Amino acid sequence: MGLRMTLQTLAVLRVLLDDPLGEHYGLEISKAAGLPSGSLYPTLARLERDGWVTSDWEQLDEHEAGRRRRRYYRLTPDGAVWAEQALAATTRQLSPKPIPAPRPGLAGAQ
Amino acid sequence: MSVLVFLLTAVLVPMLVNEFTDWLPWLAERLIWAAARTLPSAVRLRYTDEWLGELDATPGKLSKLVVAVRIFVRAPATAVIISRVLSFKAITGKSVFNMTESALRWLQMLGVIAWRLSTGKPLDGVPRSDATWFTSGTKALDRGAAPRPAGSLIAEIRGDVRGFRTELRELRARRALGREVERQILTEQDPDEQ
Repeated sequence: MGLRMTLQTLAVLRVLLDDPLGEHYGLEISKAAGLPSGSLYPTLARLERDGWVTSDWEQLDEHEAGRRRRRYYRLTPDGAVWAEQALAATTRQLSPKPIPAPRPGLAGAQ
Repeated sequence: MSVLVFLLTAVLVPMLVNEFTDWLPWLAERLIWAAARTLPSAVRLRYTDEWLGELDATPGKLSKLVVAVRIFVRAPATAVIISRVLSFKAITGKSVFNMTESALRWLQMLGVIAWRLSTGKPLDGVPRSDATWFTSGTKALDRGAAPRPAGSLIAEIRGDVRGFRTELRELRARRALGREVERQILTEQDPDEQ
């Protein structure tokens, strides 16, 4: 793993993990994660470098389809496990800690 | 006068606005190409395609320009981060092994040099030329076994110094052979003698 977890990274992972077997293109992830492309692509590049995510160009005849080909990103099997763990760890860290109940001995001391 | 105002507001201004808005997608695309120029050449085409795809998917001519300007403004920062990502070398088991080996060799060398400098003698007590002080893999000849000819400058030879990588490779090969024997693919006995 060894990836520095930022809010942007977690947002991207959340989007990819919502449909781990699906393919997602940049603009779609950008909209779903609420990130501008200036933040999204460096995040995806890091994830790809560290083996969390893999990407491929769409096989498409651009003239026939009337649009440009898309680059699709998907989680690798390891990446899906790591993403799950990272998101769970972050949720644990962010969840409020339960306030310990006062000890019985201290209740009557006041 | 009123006719002139009418012509300006009803005809000329809409024409100019229409003309200007038709140029906006072209301008947006040029901005994307300009933004892509800041990226490392290895990924320039890839991100140009990504950004142009984003531009195509954005409805409205003015919105396209807004998206392009946003990408253009952020391009230098994006380029810096992507360059860093590309130049980063992943830490693998092999690279850790190599780094540790280099560090150990460096420490060993440092120790030898410190010893030699502090005592003024080589570690084995055999005098040698200055050239061999800092040259790894050299060792003095055993003078008793091989007396050098008088006047000869050949006091040292490059010894058969085996690195532990070689040892490790041999160990792995021996273990692999052992496994083959265990799996009865290989036999330790000569088949002719059986």
